[in-house]
Amino acid sequence: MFALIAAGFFYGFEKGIVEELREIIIAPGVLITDFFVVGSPGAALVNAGLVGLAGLILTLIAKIPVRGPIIAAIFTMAGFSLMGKTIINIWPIFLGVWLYSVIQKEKFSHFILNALFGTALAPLASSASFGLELGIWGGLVFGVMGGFLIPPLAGHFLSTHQGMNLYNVGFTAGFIGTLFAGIFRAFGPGKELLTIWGEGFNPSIMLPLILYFVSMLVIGLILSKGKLGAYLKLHREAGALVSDFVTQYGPGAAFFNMGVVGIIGTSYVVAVGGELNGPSISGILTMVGFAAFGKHAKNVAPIMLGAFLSLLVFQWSPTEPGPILGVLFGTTLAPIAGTYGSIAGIIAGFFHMAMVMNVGYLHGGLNLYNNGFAGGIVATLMVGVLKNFNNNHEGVVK
Amino acid sequence: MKRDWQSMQGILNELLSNSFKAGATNVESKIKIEKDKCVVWVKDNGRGLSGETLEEVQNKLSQPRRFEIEEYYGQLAGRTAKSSGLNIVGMMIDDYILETEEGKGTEITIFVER
Repeated sequence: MFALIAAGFFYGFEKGIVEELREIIIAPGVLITDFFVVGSPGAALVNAGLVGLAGLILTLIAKIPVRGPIIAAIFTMAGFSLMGKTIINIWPIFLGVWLYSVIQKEKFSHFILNALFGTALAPLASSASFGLELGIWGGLVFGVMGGFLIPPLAGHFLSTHQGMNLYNVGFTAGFIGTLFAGIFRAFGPGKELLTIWGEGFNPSIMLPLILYFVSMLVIGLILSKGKLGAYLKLHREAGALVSDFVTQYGPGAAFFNMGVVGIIGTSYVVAVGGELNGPSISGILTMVGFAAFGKHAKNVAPIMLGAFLSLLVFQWSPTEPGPILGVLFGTTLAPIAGTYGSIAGIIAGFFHMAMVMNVGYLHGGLNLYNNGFAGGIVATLMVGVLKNFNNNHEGVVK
Repeated sequence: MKRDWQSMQGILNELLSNSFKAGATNVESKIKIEKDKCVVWVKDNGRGLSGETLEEVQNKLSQPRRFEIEEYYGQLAGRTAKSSGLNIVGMMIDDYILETEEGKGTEITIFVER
Protein backbone atom coordinates (compact mmCIF):
# COMPACT_ATOMS: atom_id res chain seq x y z
CA MET A 1 0.00 0.00 0.00
CA PHE A 2 2.91 2.29 0.76
CA ALA A 3 4.30 1.36 -2.67
CA LEU A 4 1.05 2.58 -4.27
CA ILE A 5 1.30 5.91 -2.43
CA ALA A 6 4.97 6.23 -3.37
CA ALA A 7 4.09 5.45 -6.99
CA GLY A 8 1.43 8.16 -6.86
CA PHE A 9 4.01 10.75 -5.81
CA PHE A 10 6.39 9.40 -8.47
CA TYR A 11 3.76 10.09 -11.19
CA GLY A 12 3.06 13.52 -9.69
CA PHE A 13 0.05 15.84 -9.74
CA GLU A 14 -0.76 18.46 -12.38
CA LYS A 15 -3.13 20.49 -10.19
CA GLY A 16 -1.71 19.47 -6.82
CA ILE A 17 -2.59 16.45 -4.68
CA VAL A 18 -5.34 18.18 -2.66
CA GLU A 19 -7.25 19.43 -5.71
CA GLU A 20 -6.97 16.12 -7.59
CA LEU A 21 -8.02 14.07 -4.56
CA ARG A 22 -10.97 16.45 -4.13
CA GLU A 23 -12.03 15.81 -7.75
CA ILE A 24 -11.92 12.06 -7.07
CA ILE A 25 -13.86 12.36 -3.81
CA ILE A 26 -16.72 14.45 -5.25
CA ALA A 27 -17.22 12.14 -8.25
CA PRO A 28 -20.30 9.90 -7.86
CA GLY A 29 -17.90 7.01 -8.44
CA VAL A 30 -20.35 4.69 -10.16
CA LEU A 31 -19.18 2.18 -12.76
CA ILE A 32 -17.08 2.90 -14.80
CA THR A 33 -15.30 6.00 -13.44
CA ASP A 34 -11.59 5.92 -14.16
CA PHE A 35 -9.83 7.93 -11.46
CA PHE A 36 -6.79 8.15 -13.77
CA VAL A 37 -9.02 10.51 -15.80
CA VAL A 38 -11.19 12.15 -13.11
CA GLY A 39 -8.14 12.98 -10.98
CA SER A 40 -4.82 11.76 -12.34
CA PRO A 41 -2.77 8.55 -12.17
CA GLY A 42 -0.83 10.05 -9.25
CA ALA A 43 -3.93 11.01 -7.25
CA ALA A 44 -5.66 7.71 -8.07
CA LEU A 45 -2.66 5.72 -6.79
CA VAL A 46 -2.47 7.78 -3.59
CA ASN A 47 -6.22 7.24 -3.08
CA ALA A 48 -5.74 3.49 -3.64
CA GLY A 49 -2.89 3.33 -1.14
CA LEU A 50 -4.87 5.30 1.46
CA VAL A 51 -7.97 3.13 1.06
CA GLY A 52 -5.87 -0.05 1.28
CA LEU A 53 -4.13 1.28 4.39
CA ALA A 54 -7.49 2.19 5.96
CA GLY A 55 -8.60 -1.42 5.48
CA LEU A 56 -5.33 -2.76 6.84
CA ILE A 57 -5.40 -0.50 9.91
CA LEU A 58 -9.01 -1.49 10.61
CA THR A 59 -7.94 -5.14 10.39
CA LEU A 60 -5.04 -4.60 12.77
CA ILE A 61 -7.25 -2.71 15.24
CA ALA A 62 -9.70 -5.62 15.08
CA LYS A 63 -6.72 -7.93 15.85
CA ILE A 64 -7.48 -10.19 12.90
CA PRO A 65 -4.42 -11.93 11.40
CA VAL A 66 -3.60 -10.91 7.83
CA ARG A 67 -4.14 -14.13 5.87
CA GLY A 68 -5.71 -15.08 2.52
CA PRO A 69 -9.19 -13.52 2.79
CA ILE A 70 -7.87 -10.29 4.33
CA ILE A 71 -5.21 -9.99 1.59
CA ALA A 72 -7.94 -10.52 -1.04
CA ALA A 73 -10.12 -7.87 0.59
CA ILE A 74 -7.34 -5.28 0.94
CA PHE A 75 -6.17 -5.69 -2.67
CA THR A 76 -9.77 -5.53 -3.88
CA MET A 77 -10.28 -2.32 -1.90
CA ALA A 78 -7.09 -0.78 -3.24
CA GLY A 79 -7.86 -1.88 -6.79
CA PHE A 80 -11.36 -0.42 -6.77
CA SER A 81 -9.98 2.82 -5.39
CA LEU A 82 -8.77 3.42 -8.92
CA MET A 83 -12.39 3.43 -10.04
CA GLY A 84 -15.01 4.25 -7.43
CA LYS A 85 -13.90 3.87 -3.83
CA THR A 86 -12.42 6.86 -2.09
CA ILE A 87 -10.83 7.51 1.27
CA ILE A 88 -14.13 9.23 2.20
CA ASN A 89 -16.97 7.10 0.77
CA ILE A 90 -15.85 3.82 2.38
CA TRP A 91 -16.61 4.99 5.94
CA PRO A 92 -20.44 4.96 5.80
CA ILE A 93 -20.21 1.30 4.73
CA PHE A 94 -17.94 0.47 7.69
CA LEU A 95 -20.37 2.33 9.94
CA GLY A 96 -23.30 0.31 8.60
CA VAL A 97 -21.52 -2.99 9.24
CA TRP A 98 -20.50 -1.80 12.72
CA LEU A 99 -24.12 -0.88 13.47
CA TYR A 100 -25.20 -4.37 12.43
CA SER A 101 -22.60 -5.92 14.76
CA VAL A 102 -23.84 -3.76 17.67
CA ILE A 103 -27.46 -4.80 17.10
CA GLN A 104 -26.38 -8.44 16.84
CA LYS A 105 -24.35 -8.00 20.06
CA GLU A 106 -21.29 -9.43 18.32
CA LYS A 107 -17.76 -8.10 18.04
CA PHE A 108 -17.15 -5.89 14.98
CA SER A 109 -13.98 -7.91 14.33
CA HIS A 110 -16.13 -10.93 13.44
CA PHE A 111 -17.61 -8.88 10.57
CA ILE A 112 -14.34 -7.45 9.28
CA LEU A 113 -14.57 -9.27 5.93
CA ASN A 114 -18.11 -8.00 5.39
CA ALA A 115 -16.90 -4.47 6.12
CA LEU A 116 -13.87 -4.60 3.83
CA PHE A 117 -15.55 -6.33 0.88
CA GLY A 118 -18.76 -4.37 1.54
CA THR A 119 -17.11 -1.18 0.31
CA ALA A 120 -18.32 -2.38 -3.10
CA LEU A 121 -21.31 -0.20 -2.25
CA ALA A 122 -19.23 2.92 -1.55
CA PRO A 123 -20.68 4.67 -4.65
CA LEU A 124 -24.05 4.49 -2.91
CA ALA A 125 -22.80 7.17 -0.50
CA SER A 126 -21.09 9.25 -3.21
CA SER A 127 -24.07 9.00 -5.56
CA ALA A 128 -26.51 10.11 -2.87
CA SER A 129 -24.27 12.98 -1.76
CA PHE A 130 -22.97 14.28 -5.07
CA GLY A 131 -25.12 12.63 -7.76
CA LEU A 132 -28.54 13.13 -6.15
CA GLU A 133 -27.27 16.21 -4.29
CA LEU A 134 -28.56 14.99 -0.92
CA GLY A 135 -25.49 16.32 0.83
CA ILE A 136 -23.19 14.69 3.36
CA TRP A 137 -26.04 13.40 5.54
CA GLY A 138 -27.85 11.87 2.56
CA GLY A 139 -24.69 10.02 1.57
CA LEU A 140 -24.14 8.88 5.14
CA VAL A 141 -27.67 7.53 5.50
CA PHE A 142 -27.66 5.61 2.21
CA GLY A 143 -24.11 4.33 2.78
CA VAL A 144 -24.92 3.12 6.29
CA MET A 145 -28.07 1.38 5.02
CA GLY A 146 -26.01 -0.39 2.33
CA GLY A 147 -23.36 -1.46 4.84
CA PHE A 148 -25.98 -2.67 7.31
CA LEU A 149 -27.49 -5.01 4.72
CA ILE A 150 -24.19 -6.63 3.69
CA PRO A 151 -23.55 -9.05 6.64
CA PRO A 152 -26.93 -10.80 6.73
CA LEU A 153 -27.28 -10.99 2.97
CA ALA A 154 -23.69 -11.99 2.11
CA GLY A 155 -24.02 -15.19 4.15
CA HIS A 156 -27.46 -15.81 2.73
CA PHE A 157 -26.35 -15.55 -0.91
CA LEU A 158 -23.33 -17.84 -0.40
CA SER A 159 -25.47 -20.94 -0.40
CA THR A 160 -27.02 -20.18 -3.80
CA HIS A 161 -23.73 -20.64 -5.65
CA GLN A 162 -22.20 -22.93 -2.99
CA GLY A 163 -18.89 -21.06 -2.85
CA MET A 164 -18.27 -21.12 -6.61
CA ASN A 165 -18.33 -17.32 -7.04
CA LEU A 166 -15.33 -15.81 -5.27
CA TYR A 167 -16.70 -12.22 -5.33
CA ASN A 168 -19.69 -13.16 -3.20
CA VAL A 169 -20.14 -9.66 -1.79
CA GLY A 170 -20.34 -8.46 -5.40
CA PHE A 171 -23.22 -10.88 -5.94
CA THR A 172 -24.87 -9.61 -2.75
CA ALA A 173 -24.18 -5.94 -3.46
CA GLY A 174 -25.65 -6.39 -6.93
CA PHE A 175 -29.05 -7.12 -5.42
CA ILE A 176 -28.74 -4.32 -2.84
CA GLY A 177 -27.60 -1.90 -5.57
CA THR A 178 -30.52 -2.96 -7.74
CA LEU A 179 -32.91 -2.15 -4.89
CA PHE A 180 -31.43 1.32 -4.36
CA ALA A 181 -31.13 2.08 -8.09
CA GLY A 182 -34.80 1.18 -8.39
CA ILE A 183 -35.67 3.55 -5.54
CA PHE A 184 -33.55 6.35 -7.03
CA ARG A 185 -35.17 5.86 -10.44
CA ALA A 186 -38.62 5.73 -8.85
CA PHE A 187 -38.08 9.27 -7.54
CA GLY A 188 -37.09 10.54 -10.96
CA PRO A 189 -33.32 10.90 -11.26
CA GLY A 190 -31.82 8.72 -13.97
CA LYS A 191 -29.28 6.13 -12.94
CA GLU A 192 -27.49 5.57 -16.20
CA LEU A 193 -24.10 3.89 -16.52
CA LEU A 194 -21.01 5.97 -17.16
CA THR A 195 -17.90 5.09 -19.10
CA ILE A 196 -14.94 7.26 -18.17
CA TRP A 197 -12.10 5.16 -19.53
CA GLY A 198 -8.53 6.44 -19.67
CA GLU A 199 -6.31 5.82 -22.67
CA GLY A 200 -2.64 6.16 -23.42
CA PHE A 201 -1.19 5.24 -20.03
CA ASN A 202 0.39 1.92 -21.12
CA PRO A 203 3.93 3.21 -21.76
CA SER A 204 4.24 4.76 -18.32
CA ILE A 205 2.29 2.15 -16.30
CA MET A 206 3.26 -1.23 -17.76
CA LEU A 207 6.85 -1.51 -16.57
CA PRO A 208 6.22 -0.40 -12.96
CA LEU A 209 3.24 -2.75 -12.80
CA ILE A 210 5.27 -5.72 -14.04
CA LEU A 211 8.06 -4.83 -11.61
CA TYR A 212 5.49 -4.74 -8.78
CA PHE A 213 4.45 -8.31 -9.57
CA VAL A 214 8.03 -9.47 -10.11
CA SER A 215 8.81 -8.14 -6.63
CA MET A 216 6.05 -10.44 -5.33
CA LEU A 217 7.76 -13.38 -7.06
CA VAL A 218 11.04 -12.43 -5.40
CA ILE A 219 9.43 -12.03 -1.96
CA GLY A 220 7.67 -15.35 -2.46
CA LEU A 221 10.93 -17.08 -3.34
CA ILE A 222 12.70 -15.55 -0.33
CA LEU A 223 9.93 -16.59 2.06
CA SER A 224 9.90 -20.10 0.53
CA LYS A 225 13.70 -20.30 0.74
CA GLY A 226 13.86 -20.84 -3.02
CA LYS A 227 11.59 -23.88 -3.00
CA LEU A 228 8.51 -23.94 -5.24
CA GLY A 229 7.03 -27.23 -4.02
CA ALA A 230 4.22 -25.62 -2.00
CA TYR A 231 3.44 -23.22 -4.84
CA LEU A 232 3.10 -26.09 -7.33
CA LYS A 233 1.02 -28.13 -4.88
CA LEU A 234 -1.37 -25.22 -4.46
CA HIS A 235 -2.63 -25.82 -8.02
CA ARG A 236 -4.38 -28.97 -6.81
CA GLU A 237 -6.89 -26.78 -4.99
CA ALA A 238 -10.23 -26.18 -6.69
CA GLY A 239 -10.21 -22.67 -5.24
CA ALA A 240 -13.81 -22.68 -4.01
CA LEU A 241 -14.66 -20.62 -0.95
CA VAL A 242 -12.93 -20.97 1.51
CA SER A 243 -9.38 -21.68 0.24
CA ASP A 244 -6.83 -19.73 2.25
CA PHE A 245 -3.51 -20.30 0.48
CA VAL A 246 -1.56 -18.36 3.13
CA THR A 247 -2.66 -20.72 5.89
CA GLN A 248 -2.59 -23.89 3.79
CA TYR A 249 0.61 -23.40 1.77
CA GLY A 250 2.48 -20.60 3.55
CA PRO A 251 3.01 -16.92 2.73
CA GLY A 252 5.88 -17.69 0.33
CA ALA A 253 3.75 -19.83 -1.98
CA ALA A 254 0.87 -17.35 -1.73
CA PHE A 255 3.09 -14.37 -2.61
CA PHE A 256 4.61 -16.23 -5.56
CA ASN A 257 1.14 -17.17 -6.77
CA MET A 258 0.01 -13.54 -6.47
CA GLY A 259 2.91 -12.42 -8.63
CA VAL A 260 2.20 -15.04 -11.29
CA VAL A 261 -1.51 -14.22 -11.45
CA GLY A 262 -0.72 -10.48 -11.64
CA ILE A 263 1.58 -11.08 -14.59
CA ILE A 264 -1.10 -13.21 -16.30
CA GLY A 265 -3.68 -10.41 -15.92
CA THR A 266 -1.32 -7.69 -17.12
CA SER A 267 -0.12 -9.81 -20.04
CA TYR A 268 -3.69 -10.40 -21.19
CA VAL A 269 -4.52 -6.68 -21.30
CA VAL A 270 -1.32 -5.88 -23.16
CA ALA A 271 -1.62 -8.86 -25.54
CA VAL A 272 -5.10 -7.88 -26.77
CA GLY A 273 -4.06 -4.24 -27.13
CA GLY A 274 -6.17 -3.07 -24.18
CA GLU A 275 -5.62 -0.06 -21.97
CA LEU A 276 -3.82 -0.22 -18.64
CA ASN A 277 -5.78 2.36 -16.68
CA GLY A 278 -7.63 2.67 -13.36
CA PRO A 279 -10.37 0.11 -14.05
CA SER A 280 -8.18 -2.50 -15.76
CA ILE A 281 -5.49 -2.25 -13.05
CA SER A 282 -8.32 -2.61 -10.55
CA GLY A 283 -9.20 -5.91 -12.25
CA ILE A 284 -5.59 -7.05 -12.14
CA LEU A 285 -5.12 -6.11 -8.46
CA THR A 286 -8.31 -7.91 -7.52
CA MET A 287 -7.04 -11.03 -9.30
CA VAL A 288 -3.77 -10.67 -7.39
CA GLY A 289 -5.54 -10.34 -4.04
CA PHE A 290 -7.64 -13.42 -4.68
CA ALA A 291 -4.51 -15.35 -5.63
CA ALA A 292 -4.10 -15.65 -1.84
CA PHE A 293 -7.68 -16.86 -1.58
CA GLY A 294 -8.60 -19.30 -4.34
CA LYS A 295 -7.17 -18.25 -7.69
CA HIS A 296 -4.16 -19.74 -9.43
CA ALA A 297 -2.94 -20.02 -13.01
CA LYS A 298 -4.65 -23.35 -13.56
CA ASN A 299 -8.15 -22.27 -12.55
CA VAL A 300 -8.14 -18.72 -13.97
CA ALA A 301 -6.83 -19.65 -17.44
CA PRO A 302 -9.95 -21.56 -18.63
CA ILE A 303 -12.25 -18.75 -17.45
CA MET A 304 -10.19 -16.09 -19.21
CA LEU A 305 -10.01 -18.24 -22.35
CA GLY A 306 -13.79 -18.79 -22.38
CA ALA A 307 -14.51 -15.10 -21.84
CA PHE A 308 -12.04 -14.16 -24.59
CA LEU A 309 -13.42 -16.75 -27.04
CA SER A 310 -16.92 -15.35 -26.50
CA LEU A 311 -15.66 -12.06 -27.92
CA LEU A 312 -14.86 -13.77 -31.22
CA VAL A 313 -18.58 -14.36 -31.74
CA PHE A 314 -20.22 -11.65 -29.66
CA GLN A 315 -20.63 -8.09 -30.90
CA TRP A 316 -17.99 -6.57 -28.60
CA SER A 317 -14.29 -6.05 -29.25
CA PRO A 318 -11.77 -7.44 -26.71
CA THR A 319 -10.33 -3.95 -26.23
CA GLU A 320 -13.61 -2.32 -25.15
CA PRO A 321 -13.95 -1.44 -21.44
CA GLY A 322 -16.63 -4.00 -20.53
CA PRO A 323 -14.91 -6.95 -22.23
CA ILE A 324 -11.49 -6.10 -20.78
CA LEU A 325 -12.98 -6.03 -17.28
CA GLY A 326 -15.14 -9.08 -18.04
CA VAL A 327 -12.11 -11.24 -18.81
CA LEU A 328 -10.10 -10.05 -15.78
CA PHE A 329 -12.90 -10.04 -13.20
CA GLY A 330 -14.53 -13.09 -14.79
CA THR A 331 -11.95 -15.07 -12.86
CA THR A 332 -14.37 -14.79 -9.95
CA LEU A 333 -15.60 -18.09 -11.47
CA ALA A 334 -12.19 -19.80 -11.15
CA PRO A 335 -13.64 -22.37 -8.68
CA ILE A 336 -15.88 -23.72 -11.44
CA ALA A 337 -12.82 -24.56 -13.54
CA GLY A 338 -11.05 -25.92 -10.45
CA THR A 339 -13.97 -28.08 -9.40
CA TYR A 340 -15.63 -29.22 -12.61
CA GLY A 341 -12.68 -29.02 -15.04
CA SER A 342 -11.35 -26.78 -17.78
CA ILE A 343 -14.24 -27.30 -20.23
CA ALA A 344 -16.75 -26.20 -17.59
CA GLY A 345 -14.47 -23.25 -16.87
CA ILE A 346 -14.37 -22.20 -20.52
CA ILE A 347 -18.18 -22.42 -20.71
CA ALA A 348 -18.45 -20.40 -17.48
CA GLY A 349 -16.20 -17.69 -18.93
CA PHE A 350 -18.29 -17.62 -22.10
CA PHE A 351 -21.56 -17.23 -20.18
CA HIS A 352 -20.00 -14.70 -17.85
CA MET A 353 -19.22 -12.29 -20.66
CA ALA A 354 -22.81 -12.38 -21.88
CA MET A 355 -24.11 -11.88 -18.35
CA VAL A 356 -21.76 -9.12 -17.24
CA MET A 357 -22.52 -6.97 -20.27
CA ASN A 358 -26.18 -7.19 -19.36
CA VAL A 359 -26.64 -6.71 -15.61
CA GLY A 360 -24.94 -3.36 -14.94
CA TYR A 361 -28.12 -1.42 -15.75
CA LEU A 362 -29.96 -3.13 -12.90
CA HIS A 363 -27.88 -1.47 -10.18
CA GLY A 364 -26.91 1.55 -12.24
CA GLY A 365 -23.24 1.09 -11.35
CA LEU A 366 -23.90 1.44 -7.60
CA ASN A 367 -22.29 -1.97 -7.08
CA LEU A 368 -18.66 -1.71 -8.08
CA TYR A 369 -18.28 -5.50 -8.18
CA ASN A 370 -20.53 -5.85 -11.22
CA ASN A 371 -18.61 -8.95 -12.28
CA GLY A 372 -19.27 -10.50 -8.88
CA PHE A 373 -22.98 -9.94 -9.46
CA ALA A 374 -22.85 -11.47 -12.95
CA GLY A 375 -20.53 -14.24 -11.78
CA GLY A 376 -22.90 -15.12 -8.95
CA ILE A 377 -25.77 -15.56 -11.38
CA VAL A 378 -23.67 -17.70 -13.74
CA ALA A 379 -22.29 -19.79 -10.86
CA THR A 380 -25.76 -20.33 -9.38
CA LEU A 381 -27.09 -21.52 -12.73
CA MET A 382 -24.12 -23.72 -13.55
CA VAL A 383 -23.73 -25.30 -10.12
CA GLY A 384 -27.44 -26.09 -10.07
CA VAL A 385 -26.96 -28.18 -13.20
CA LEU A 386 -23.41 -29.51 -12.78
CA LYS A 387 -23.82 -30.88 -9.27
CA ASN A 388 -26.42 -33.31 -10.59
CA PHE A 389 -24.02 -34.68 -13.16
CA ASN A 390 -20.99 -34.77 -10.94
CA ASN A 391 -21.81 -36.85 -7.90
CA ASN A 392 -18.32 -37.90 -6.98
CA HIS A 393 -18.69 -40.69 -4.48
CA GLU A 394 -15.05 -41.63 -4.76
CA GLY A 395 -13.58 -38.70 -2.89
CA VAL A 396 -13.90 -38.71 0.87
CA VAL A 397 -12.61 -35.26 1.60
CA LYS A 398 -14.86 -32.50 0.40
CA MET B 1 -28.25 -20.11 21.19
CA LYS B 2 -29.70 -19.80 17.71
CA ARG B 3 -26.22 -19.20 16.28
CA ASP B 4 -24.80 -22.28 18.05
CA TRP B 5 -27.65 -24.30 16.65
CA GLN B 6 -26.99 -23.05 13.11
CA SER B 7 -23.23 -23.72 13.33
CA MET B 8 -23.72 -27.22 14.71
CA GLN B 9 -26.22 -28.01 11.98
CA GLY B 10 -23.73 -26.89 9.30
CA ILE B 11 -20.88 -28.90 10.82
CA LEU B 12 -23.06 -31.99 11.17
CA ASN B 13 -24.25 -31.69 7.56
CA GLU B 14 -20.66 -31.51 6.37
CA LEU B 15 -19.61 -34.58 8.37
CA LEU B 16 -22.66 -36.56 7.27
CA SER B 17 -22.06 -35.76 3.62
CA ASN B 18 -18.45 -36.98 3.94
CA SER B 19 -19.71 -40.20 5.51
CA PHE B 20 -22.04 -40.83 2.58
CA LYS B 21 -19.27 -39.99 0.11
CA ALA B 22 -17.17 -42.63 1.84
CA GLY B 23 -19.84 -45.18 1.01
CA ALA B 24 -21.24 -45.53 4.53
CA THR B 25 -24.46 -47.49 4.91
CA ASN B 26 -24.74 -47.07 8.64
CA VAL B 27 -24.25 -43.58 10.11
CA GLU B 28 -24.86 -42.51 13.71
CA SER B 29 -24.73 -38.89 14.88
CA LYS B 30 -25.24 -36.83 18.01
CA ILE B 31 -25.15 -33.13 18.95
CA LYS B 32 -24.74 -31.99 22.54
CA ILE B 33 -24.90 -28.34 23.56
CA GLU B 34 -23.35 -27.84 26.99
CA LYS B 35 -22.77 -24.72 29.08
CA ASP B 36 -19.24 -24.04 27.84
CA LYS B 37 -19.04 -26.06 24.62
CA CYS B 38 -20.92 -27.80 21.83
CA VAL B 39 -20.06 -31.34 20.77
CA VAL B 40 -20.82 -32.95 17.41
CA TRP B 41 -20.24 -36.69 17.02
CA VAL B 42 -20.51 -38.82 13.87
CA LYS B 43 -19.67 -42.51 13.43
CA ASP B 44 -19.91 -44.36 10.12
CA ASN B 45 -19.01 -47.67 8.51
CA GLY B 46 -17.53 -46.09 5.37
CA ARG B 47 -14.20 -46.76 3.72
CA GLY B 48 -12.20 -45.03 6.44
CA LEU B 49 -9.19 -42.80 5.99
CA SER B 50 -5.50 -43.49 5.51
CA GLY B 51 -2.29 -42.09 4.08
CA GLU B 52 -2.43 -38.77 2.28
CA THR B 53 -6.20 -38.42 2.64
CA LEU B 54 -6.00 -38.83 6.41
CA GLU B 55 -3.20 -36.28 6.57
CA GLU B 56 -5.25 -33.85 4.46
CA VAL B 57 -8.27 -34.21 6.75
CA GLN B 58 -6.13 -33.69 9.85
CA ASN B 59 -4.53 -30.58 8.33
CA LYS B 60 -7.90 -29.08 7.53
CA LEU B 61 -9.37 -29.79 10.95
CA SER B 62 -6.26 -28.59 12.83
CA GLN B 63 -6.49 -24.99 11.62
CA PRO B 64 -6.92 -22.27 14.24
CA ARG B 65 -10.50 -21.13 14.82
CA ARG B 66 -11.24 -17.99 12.83
CA PHE B 67 -14.26 -16.00 13.87
CA GLU B 68 -14.13 -13.65 10.88
CA ILE B 69 -14.41 -16.66 8.53
CA GLU B 70 -17.07 -18.30 10.69
CA GLU B 71 -19.25 -15.19 10.69
CA TYR B 72 -19.15 -14.70 6.94
CA TYR B 73 -18.50 -18.08 5.35
CA GLY B 74 -19.83 -20.31 8.13
CA GLN B 75 -23.15 -20.69 6.37
CA LEU B 76 -21.33 -22.60 3.60
CA ALA B 77 -20.60 -25.50 5.99
CA GLY B 78 -22.62 -28.46 4.78
CA ARG B 79 -23.60 -26.66 1.60
CA THR B 80 -20.47 -26.64 -0.57
CA ALA B 81 -20.81 -28.17 -4.02
CA LYS B 82 -17.80 -30.42 -3.94
CA SER B 83 -14.73 -29.03 -2.30
CA SER B 84 -13.52 -26.97 0.67
CA GLY B 85 -16.27 -28.00 3.09
CA LEU B 86 -13.97 -29.54 5.71
CA ASN B 87 -11.74 -26.49 5.36
CA ILE B 88 -14.58 -24.31 6.59
CA VAL B 89 -15.38 -26.73 9.42
CA GLY B 90 -11.70 -26.61 10.45
CA MET B 91 -11.94 -22.83 10.85
CA MET B 92 -15.12 -23.09 12.96
CA ILE B 93 -13.98 -25.56 15.61
CA ASP B 94 -11.62 -25.62 18.59
CA ASP B 95 -10.68 -29.29 18.81
CA TYR B 96 -11.47 -32.74 17.43
CA ILE B 97 -10.85 -36.44 17.99
CA LEU B 98 -10.60 -38.62 14.89
CA GLU B 99 -10.50 -42.41 14.94
CA THR B 100 -10.49 -44.18 11.63
CA GLU B 101 -9.62 -47.58 10.19
CA GLU B 102 -9.37 -48.30 6.50
CA GLY B 103 -12.24 -50.50 5.34
CA LYS B 104 -14.04 -50.29 8.69
CA GLY B 105 -15.17 -46.72 9.17
CA THR B 106 -14.58 -43.41 10.89
CA GLU B 107 -15.59 -41.88 14.21
CA ILE B 108 -15.16 -38.16 14.70
CA THR B 109 -15.94 -35.90 17.65
CA ILE B 110 -15.86 -32.12 17.16
CA PHE B 111 -15.63 -29.59 20.02
CA VAL B 112 -16.69 -25.95 19.69
CA GLU B 113 -16.22 -23.63 22.65
CA ARG B 114 -19.09 -21.24 23.42
